[in-house]
Amino acid sequence: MYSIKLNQFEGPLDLLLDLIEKKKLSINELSLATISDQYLEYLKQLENFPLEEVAGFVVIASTLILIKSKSLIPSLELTEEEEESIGELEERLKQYQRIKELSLNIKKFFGKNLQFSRESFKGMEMGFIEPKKLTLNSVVSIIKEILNNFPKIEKLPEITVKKIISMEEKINELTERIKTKMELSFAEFSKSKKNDNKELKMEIIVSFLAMLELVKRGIIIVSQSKAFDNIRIKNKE
Amino acid sequence: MINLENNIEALLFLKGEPMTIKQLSKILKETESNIESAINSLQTNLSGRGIRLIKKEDSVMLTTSPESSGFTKELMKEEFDSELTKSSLETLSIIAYKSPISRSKIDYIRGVNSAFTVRNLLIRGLVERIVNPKDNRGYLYKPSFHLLQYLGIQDIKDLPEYGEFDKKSEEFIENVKSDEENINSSDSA
Repeated sequence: MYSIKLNQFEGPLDLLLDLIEKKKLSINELSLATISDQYLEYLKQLENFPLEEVAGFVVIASTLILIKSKSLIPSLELTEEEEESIGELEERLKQYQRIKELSLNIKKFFGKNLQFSRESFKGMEMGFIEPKKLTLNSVVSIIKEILNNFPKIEKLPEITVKKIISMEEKINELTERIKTKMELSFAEFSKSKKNDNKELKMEIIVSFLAMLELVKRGIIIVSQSKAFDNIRIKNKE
Repeated sequence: MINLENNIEALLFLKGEPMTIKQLSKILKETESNIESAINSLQTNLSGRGIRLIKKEDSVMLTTSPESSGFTKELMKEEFDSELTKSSLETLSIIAYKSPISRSKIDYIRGVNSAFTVRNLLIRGLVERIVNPKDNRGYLYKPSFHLLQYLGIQDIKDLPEYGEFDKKSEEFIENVKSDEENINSSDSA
């Protein structure tokens, strides 16, 4: 006997169409009469019958029984309504068969060659957002600021070699000067060519120390009439 | 006319989502029929290119071409589930070939309740629904732009054998269903 896997059908039309197509029959009254027993058999086998679908299956079953009866009893008189429901079932099956054929097109195309839209911009409002405060001048001043903020080209630090005033030099200088000049003032001696205040001070200090050294060596004699007055330097010889 | 075509192309490119003929007509200050014919020639002119114009009723949108799908998919780096269940495929086919269609008609053609399947297709964005203009208690289902994009077609009419669903059977369903709907209009999906 022709066996049917259970629960593989979407509904009564799906089942009917499958029964007809498996027998390679075309859809008409005769083929429906032929497969009606199998259809009813299937219903009997069906456990856990989907309740929502019962009505659909049963309505079609009744039409099938009608068709079967008509084929067995040719003299059976059908009402107009009964004739209609037979015609309708045939027509629905043809429709359903057609949709199944067409669905192969959808199946063939579906998801194979996708067409994308610019989804990333979807929903984005298009429009010009006016940049307030933007003028030619503000652009220029911003550019200038940017240029100013560029890192400066760094100059290599110049090393100024400071002249170190050595005590010895000063001592020699003072010795030389006191030899040629019998007397000179400290102000004259410590007078510097330098303008820098710091260096000037340094020179004065060094000069003072040199003077003290020469006093100690007994080469010169110094005298000062009062505090902060000029110091007179004399050759001791 | 070329100028209008170009302007439509520019607007659609910029927008990146569907625009209606009405919107285009307003922005471009052209009659809707001028817009429509420019759209048609734009669609033809784009047919060999990497950008396509897809059309659904009175809306149009630019998309990448189906031929570039291999590379565009790569760029989008998304998983595209191209598998449809048997019931989804049937239901989707009915909506694609027979839209706009009510759920009770879908049920009638399939011989089975399709509420769950239709809802599923709606959630996936493959179909959309409108209030039935003849009966505001029910909805009509139509293909969405997303479906066109998934099928790689520019117009639902590009489907093979579209419109060959012969008029006779169309009328048949129409008549039967209009009787049935009067008795049983429980289209709640």
